[in-house]
Amino acid sequence: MKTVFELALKRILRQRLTLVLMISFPIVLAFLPQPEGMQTPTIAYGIFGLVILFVAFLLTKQVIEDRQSKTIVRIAASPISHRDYLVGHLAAYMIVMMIQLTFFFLLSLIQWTAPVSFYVWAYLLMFMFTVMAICFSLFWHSMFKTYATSIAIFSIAANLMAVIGGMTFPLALLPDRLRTVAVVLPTYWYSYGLEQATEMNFNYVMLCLLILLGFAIIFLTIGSKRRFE
Amino acid sequence: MHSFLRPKSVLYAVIGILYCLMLLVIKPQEPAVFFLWIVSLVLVVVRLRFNSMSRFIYIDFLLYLGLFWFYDIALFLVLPSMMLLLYVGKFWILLGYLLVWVGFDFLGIESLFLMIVSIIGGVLIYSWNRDKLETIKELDALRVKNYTLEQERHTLLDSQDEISRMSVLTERDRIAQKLHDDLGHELTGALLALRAYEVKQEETSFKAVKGRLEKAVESLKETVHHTKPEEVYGLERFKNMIHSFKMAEVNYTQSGDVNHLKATHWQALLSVLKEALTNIQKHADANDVIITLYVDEKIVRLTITNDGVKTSQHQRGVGLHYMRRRIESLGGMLSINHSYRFTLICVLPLRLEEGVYDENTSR
Repeated sequence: MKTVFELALKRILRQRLTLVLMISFPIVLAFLPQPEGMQTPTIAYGIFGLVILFVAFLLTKQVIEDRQSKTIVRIAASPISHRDYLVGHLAAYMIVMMIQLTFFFLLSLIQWTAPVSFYVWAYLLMFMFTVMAICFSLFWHSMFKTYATSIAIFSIAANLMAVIGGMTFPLALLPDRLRTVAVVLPTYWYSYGLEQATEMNFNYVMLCLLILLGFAIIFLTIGSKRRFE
Repeated sequence: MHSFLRPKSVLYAVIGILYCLMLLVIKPQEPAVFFLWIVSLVLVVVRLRFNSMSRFIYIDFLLYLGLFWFYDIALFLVLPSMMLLLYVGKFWILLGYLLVWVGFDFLGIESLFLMIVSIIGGVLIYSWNRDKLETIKELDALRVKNYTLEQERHTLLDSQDEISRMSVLTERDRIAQKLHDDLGHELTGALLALRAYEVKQEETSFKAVKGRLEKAVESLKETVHHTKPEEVYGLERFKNMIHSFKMAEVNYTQSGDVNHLKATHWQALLSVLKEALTNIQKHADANDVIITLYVDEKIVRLTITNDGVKTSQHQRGVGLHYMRRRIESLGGMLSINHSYRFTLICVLPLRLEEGVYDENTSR
């Protein structure tokens, strides 16, 4: 597993463009102007959720590329179990994304002044959302044969999820009918959690964390099934 | 489409629909309610993914029972788990669920509808899955039987070849013994008498030689007469079979040297001819039949064609089926063509498959 973890990290470090985007987007979002009177940077955190989704997708492309190039078949013939393969890769992605979200968190601490409790809960929400995003990307890639098809459809799906889920604008502006549909999206519960963190309803934030964890378990359970093509 | 339409795939789809319908009934905007919904979904997804439908599912039911004291929606959330138990054939769960449902005063038309969907879905998919498994079991038993029969067929064919070989060897031994006993003595006596005549040149010796040779010729004639089989075989039998067919006009042509054909060839060709003529007699209202036997250095080809009635469906007779198998076991081929006239073509190699007895090369 350690070997797989190190290999995954090395492959991530070779994706220079992804690393540049991972560093630049938090900086851009940290300087995003907030509406006057808004005490907490929920919009910036919301948009950062979309960044988390796309970064997780870009990092997990290694899994689908291994399947495309039949590397997964050769790994299946080796002593490395599928569980070790997955855990090694997911751990590498998690570490890299934790660095990114910690970087954004520190920038937001410097840039904005919001209650400490908001920052704590927002960090936990971002962490859980990151876990969910990685599992979701794994599940998403397991549905497609090629990376090109996967990213083409994901671009549309992720943006729709972000819009309907209220990541790019406040949930209060969402029509009621759309809100009924939006509850099945994990992005909705991330935005809802941020909203409740702003209003200091920490019970609801806790529930949102658990819901995001539930989504992560579902996506991981389905996406972890080994496929050779 | 057929490969996707499996009982398990339909189960996934129905459970998915059930969860979507549940979302319409409960108020999912409430975080606590949605959390319970997702917990239920997690439990079911994990069971489906790891194929453990009923293992420790009682813990799920205890959880829902506990939750029901606080949230009525637990009565809906238990439905997918109940479907899983119905899918594996544990129908007793229905009784427990109905007791709870009635005991706590049922929650309305929506719960009734969802319950009916899950019960009917679970029971139907269980029945379908059970029938499919039984069919697979029957197919497996038939395959085993077919394999066993194939093995027995091979054994019987091998035994037949062995018997044929032993018969020929026995007959050769008998002929050799008879020639030795009858002809050998007389020729040896004649030779001795001839040597005596060479020395003494007496007329008695000459008469002895002549007598012995006459006896040897007689003995040879007698041996040949008794050894020659009365029953016709080979080409003669082939032609007799054709001439005895009176149902239609038969035109027979032959080309090549049929002396190259061995007993095994004749046996196979006679079987094919007999089967073909029987089929013509039974199924085809033929006016003329054309039979061609062609022999060259490599193959022998028998073609039987008739102008009989064409049927809309090609019915493969059992006889032709086994004939094809026998021909193929000799390295040959049997084909049937319906396009213009009904044509049956049997091709056999002159050099037979390994393991088949060839009386000319055996010792």
